[in-house]
Amino acid sequence: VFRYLVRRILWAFVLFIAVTLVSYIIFFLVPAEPARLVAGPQAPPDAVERARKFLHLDEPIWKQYLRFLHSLSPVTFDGARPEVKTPSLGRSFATRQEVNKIVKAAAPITISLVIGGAILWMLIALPIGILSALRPRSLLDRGAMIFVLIGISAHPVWIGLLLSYFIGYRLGLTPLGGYCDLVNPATDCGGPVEWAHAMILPWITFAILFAALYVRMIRANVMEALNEDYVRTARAKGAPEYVVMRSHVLRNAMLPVVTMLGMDIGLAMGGAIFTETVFGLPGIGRTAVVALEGFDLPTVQGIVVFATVAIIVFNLAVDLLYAVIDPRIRLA
Amino acid sequence: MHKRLTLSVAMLALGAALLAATATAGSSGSSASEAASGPAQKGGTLRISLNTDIDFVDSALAYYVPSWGIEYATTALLMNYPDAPAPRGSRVGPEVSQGMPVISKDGKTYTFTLKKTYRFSNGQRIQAKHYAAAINRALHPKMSSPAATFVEDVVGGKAVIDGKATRATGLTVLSPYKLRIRLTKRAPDLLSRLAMPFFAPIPTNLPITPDGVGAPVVGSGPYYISRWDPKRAITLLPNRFYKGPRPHNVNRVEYDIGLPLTTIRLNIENNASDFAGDGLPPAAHAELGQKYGVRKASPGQYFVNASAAFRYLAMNHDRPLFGGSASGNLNLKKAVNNAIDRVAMINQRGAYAGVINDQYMPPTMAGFRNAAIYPSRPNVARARSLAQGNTRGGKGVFYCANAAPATTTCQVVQDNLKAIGLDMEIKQFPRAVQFTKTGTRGEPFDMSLEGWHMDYFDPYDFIFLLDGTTIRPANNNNYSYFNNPQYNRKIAAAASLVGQARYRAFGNLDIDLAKNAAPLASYITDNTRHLVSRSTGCYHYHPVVELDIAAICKK
Repeated sequence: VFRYLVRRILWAFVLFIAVTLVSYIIFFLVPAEPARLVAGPQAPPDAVERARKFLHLDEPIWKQYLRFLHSLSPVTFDGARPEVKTPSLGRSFATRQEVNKIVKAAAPITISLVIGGAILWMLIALPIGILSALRPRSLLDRGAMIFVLIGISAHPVWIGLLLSYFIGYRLGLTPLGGYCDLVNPATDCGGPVEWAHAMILPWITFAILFAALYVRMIRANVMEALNEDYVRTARAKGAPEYVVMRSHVLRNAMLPVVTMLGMDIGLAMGGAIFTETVFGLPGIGRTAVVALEGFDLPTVQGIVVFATVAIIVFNLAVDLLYAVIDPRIRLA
Repeated sequence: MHKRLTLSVAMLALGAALLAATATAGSSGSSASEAASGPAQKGGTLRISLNTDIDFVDSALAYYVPSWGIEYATTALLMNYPDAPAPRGSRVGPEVSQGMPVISKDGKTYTFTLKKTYRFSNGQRIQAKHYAAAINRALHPKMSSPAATFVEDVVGGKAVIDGKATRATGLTVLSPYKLRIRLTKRAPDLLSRLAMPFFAPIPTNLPITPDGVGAPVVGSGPYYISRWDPKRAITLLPNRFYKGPRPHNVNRVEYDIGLPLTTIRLNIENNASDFAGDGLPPAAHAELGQKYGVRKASPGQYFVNASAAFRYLAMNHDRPLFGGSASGNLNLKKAVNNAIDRVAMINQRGAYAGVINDQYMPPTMAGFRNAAIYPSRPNVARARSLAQGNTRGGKGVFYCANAAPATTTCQVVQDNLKAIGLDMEIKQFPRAVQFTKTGTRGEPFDMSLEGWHMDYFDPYDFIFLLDGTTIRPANNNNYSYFNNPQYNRKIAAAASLVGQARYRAFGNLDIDLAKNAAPLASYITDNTRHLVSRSTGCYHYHPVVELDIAAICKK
């Protein structure tokens, strides 16, 4: 396991360098002038030039990239001896805040959305998927397929706006948008109850697409597993039905689901852009959109780093979990 | 099978129960819609929604319209604009300064005597040194403040910007309540520049940091910023030491940040929010106008007022199509001005978006006179006769932003210009890319769709767009690259005047430029369109800061 972990971490490092380098290069291919955005679109040339120097934008790209890597490194070699330091993602061009703080503030919101959404979509997908598989072509199965079709076809922005309008505005059951902190409220709303209340529509919006996809996947996997020889054998041996389902059908049918879940959660950590935008959640996705609009490279890079790490960590976790779920798989 | 079914149904029920529980539990928190809708009163909480966060709460760095609204409510300046609608609200006058400053004969030295009644929100008296500290801090290179540009003509200001000094020698605190500012050259717009929130008084020990200070920020005006959680919320509370004449009606101002414009609009209509700090969905205005009626000030809920901004087509004088000499291809430029359909262009921006303007200063600017030079609808016959023999190949490159309403506005122009034999090829860019490109001299464009919002309330801040002496290799604001020595001299002469003479000179120059040089084809002065909740009163549009937070009240 240790060798496997080391190999994966090395690959992660290569991936990390590749991703950040590509995003750096793309950013500099865009013929916009971040210094001008910082100095103000109406700023005179002198002020823009001063802003360029202030932001180190007058340096070559490679030097700027090395500066970025250096600040990200947990070790500094500036002094006589190497010293441990806190890795820094730099400072935002637009707000001059530390990107570490920006990501730290946005990440819990996205995590709230993604984890809550994932629980919800699994709560929806598992029973519907299993029941559909157990009773194919039944009324429930056909109803589930309609749900799947709507869930896959409808855009999250449209779903979000509809939910916000009808449930939030017309019925007044939930806030139309915004975020309440779970603990240590930053605004005048907060605490577990108001947090859940504010998140209910985002969770539903975020979960619908995934729930639809997972219903389909679980249904197919369970149906496939039900026809396997080992299930027939277990039943022939007189195993109770719940044991057959739990130990033989679901255990095998859930393997690809676990893989997908890990990948989807990791990917969504990079920003559930549509849901966060519709509901005004100041998470990673919305922060990324605002940063991109403002050509705020350090913030964009910070989010890229966060998303890359999230994807790597979740994929690693899935790989490790795989070996636990399926004894046939060994980390080699 | 029965057990499987029971298990699945139970899981489904659990999910539904969770949803219902959170919805029910939280319903008590959404009672903001039941906010007071009774008679007008002093006190209460004003709730403002922002789609995008402000940039800074540090007065040396804040440079965004909603930020300046906050700064206006939280600062007391030497010179400021009264809490009043136009025209009074656009005339700069003394605030903390005891009357107008004493100006030396050469116009280079200003001496301010301060009132002794002003205090910061921490109780400290506001003195001359606090204004000097603000200017020195804005000049400090470590701050990289956009304000530095506006005070670099203070004697010694350049040395501070260049890091050769820490204080501008032109700033002298003569006594606790007397400040002298010496300039390197005569600058009649200094008072307007000092009315920018950049130069609000600050405690002398305020750190010089490029990140700007965070909340709480010591205030000098009717309110102070007690809290700012970036991308989340801002809170303003009354400055209990404020003894000035400005209004301060509400007890608290709460900003929520990050909601989509559509949600903000619904919240205001639901009385869960009182005001949209940075706009409404463009498509909503027609409906809002019909629903609430269009007004200029309270009473009412939907208000439309002309802002200090204008939009125009810049015709590039560096290129053969519109250039060629100091005056450029004058007849073709006039032909463009006659050919464009200003009404159709304005219509692309939604209902009540603005008023037609063919000049370069907005009607709200002192000195503006409406000369009605060009038609609102195309005068094709006149345009064709002017263009005849002057189209120089009849092809050009037209730079536009790639977002609505610029995309459709450019199509309108493209169609209009076909009628006079000009085939304009539209090239679209993100707005930030567009102005970087058009600001670079030598960029191959003939025309660009542009806009301008004032920095400070002075006619020079509009006419300087055509000052040829400002043209540099990059980062230009003179997108038409109009550089006519005769007009450069006229602009310099107008800029050296003060008072009514200054306004008159710029007003004349505005007409002269539009009529006789036509480097731009202006088409609209933007309106500011505001919606307030039914529990909000005392609204008036402030011509400089737009929303006057201090003056607004709750019913």
